[in-house]
Amino acid sequence: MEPSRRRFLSTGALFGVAATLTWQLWGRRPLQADPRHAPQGLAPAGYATLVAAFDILLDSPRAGARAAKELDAFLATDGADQVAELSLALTLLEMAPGGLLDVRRFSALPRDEARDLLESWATSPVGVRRQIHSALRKAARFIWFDRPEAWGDLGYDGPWVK
Amino acid sequence: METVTVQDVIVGSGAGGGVLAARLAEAGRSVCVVEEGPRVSKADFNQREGAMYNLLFRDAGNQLTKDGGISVLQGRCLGGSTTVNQGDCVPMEAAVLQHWRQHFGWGDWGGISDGDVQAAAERALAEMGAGPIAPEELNRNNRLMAEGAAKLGLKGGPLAHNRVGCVGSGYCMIGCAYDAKRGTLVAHLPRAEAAGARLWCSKRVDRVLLDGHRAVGVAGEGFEVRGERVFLAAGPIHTPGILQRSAVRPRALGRNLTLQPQAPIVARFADVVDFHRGIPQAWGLHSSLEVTAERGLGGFTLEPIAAGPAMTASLVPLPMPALRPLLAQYRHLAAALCLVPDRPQGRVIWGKGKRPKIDYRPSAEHHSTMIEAMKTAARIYLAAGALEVRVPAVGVPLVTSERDLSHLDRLPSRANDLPMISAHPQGTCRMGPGEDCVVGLDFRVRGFDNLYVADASLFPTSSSTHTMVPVMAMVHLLADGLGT
Repeated sequence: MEPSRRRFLSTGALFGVAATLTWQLWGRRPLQADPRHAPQGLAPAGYATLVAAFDILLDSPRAGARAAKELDAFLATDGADQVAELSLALTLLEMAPGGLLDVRRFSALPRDEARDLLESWATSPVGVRRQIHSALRKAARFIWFDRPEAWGDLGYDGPWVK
Repeated sequence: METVTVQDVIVGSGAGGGVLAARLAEAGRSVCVVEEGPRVSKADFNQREGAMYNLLFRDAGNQLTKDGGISVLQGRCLGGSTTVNQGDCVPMEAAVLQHWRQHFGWGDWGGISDGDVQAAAERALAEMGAGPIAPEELNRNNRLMAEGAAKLGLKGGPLAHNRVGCVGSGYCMIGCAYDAKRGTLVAHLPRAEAAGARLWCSKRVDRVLLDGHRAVGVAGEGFEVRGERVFLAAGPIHTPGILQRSAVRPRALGRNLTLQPQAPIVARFADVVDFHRGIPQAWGLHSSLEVTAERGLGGFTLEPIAAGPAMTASLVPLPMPALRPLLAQYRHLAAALCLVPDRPQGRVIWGKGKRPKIDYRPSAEHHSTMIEAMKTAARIYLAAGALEVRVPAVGVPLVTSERDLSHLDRLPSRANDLPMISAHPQGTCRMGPGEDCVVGLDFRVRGFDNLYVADASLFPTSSSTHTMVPVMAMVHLLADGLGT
């Protein structure tokens, strides 16, 4: 192959890779969180993913937003060393829907698609996905059912000490 | 830098540190107990799950194994795990000690006889006012399991607890608001303090201060406690971390971890059970445990438990639309823990961070025993009249009859398929005579004159289905050996 032709092809290939990476990074850039709530522990992008995941796990957008807000407030005060791990987990979830040229994000998926994706992680052959699903599920449910407002449906009469 | 100088420095205030503090202080030694968690009392225990897990447990109850598969529950407050356990008092059986004597080089253990160990356990029980739960004190969940087991010809019985004047609120695991549960917070640390011991809380010990082969104190952020002797009682996850950070790194440090992973099973009855009220873990199935000098502690046991709504909801891995109707039956639920003693197989690894890597996977043997335990629990609940029994693992169908028990053979063995907890970590600073042990048979860290370990790190294998009394007994033997 002539040197000029080889240079043209290699430059073209490099350009292609760079363009794909740029597209991926731009397309996968984090969504901004709900501006009505400024995250305290998590970055806005991670917070948006957390709200979307909790919405699915609690089957209610209102519940998801409230539980996410409580977890975020906890992370801001007592859970600094857990923020990094949770942020990484949320990033993996956020980027999960896409393929090589697919820039969809978890928090922007239609609700049914997001539910199918997250629920599939409960039984995923990939250990880290099961771990993330389990951790988010436990956190969402624990926070939600620790509220006195949730106890009436269960017939739980609450603490004895007042 | 805040500096305190005493004769004896104790790190941790749980079953090991609390008992040792009382013994040493009452013998006239000047003692400082350094506790990482906050100073708490019954007035702090508001019976709310979220607030109490944050206040009383390490990582708010989320101290996990490396793959996230097992929550290693550990108290991080004054009184340590004795403040947040269910109060079960199960001394080590003689066969376990024989196992250690024969297979782990304990031999005559410097003249400590089986009778000495038994006397030390009895002393621990007496100090806490422990005794068997009376049959009339069993709550309905425990009675159902006892009745179902009797119908199947299985043997069990009431367990001994350290509760005196229990009101049966059921919140034992998030701190007893009535001081009825007599862990070290109630039974030992006040004695130590009355004898002059200083209880220094919210102080995380980073390392032991060493001068050659002698310990001269401990240090953390902004403080030092100097003393003639140092006793580490931070538990099997964190005691090896303190040694590691102190550049005391025998080859076996952090190895031989046992977790005794436990998994819950849930049954639904037609009438109200209220499993969250009354005394939890008051009755245990004995006939399935295998304790021999050859193998040590094996088999499994079943113990009916209590759980608040938040813990219950978080452990059942159903999608929310399926979870709601189950939780609507919360008062009709019964639950038990399937506890399967394991062999030493894990490792605690401490890097530069403040949290360890707990590298542990249950073995195939453990998994098959867990299936057997769950089948037995399901049979018992069905015999007691349960409408259905549920294993909280994804993809395992409900059990409504003997015919369905084969569903449990499909119990997945991967991490995070089945929620598992560990409340009894042991090992990691194995005691024994060989070079493969971290601590000698005199409780001293190998190579050091005055640095001791006084917690469940010492045990070569699982000591008991509940570690509080075995740890307390060991510490009494340590104190006896020190002449106090």
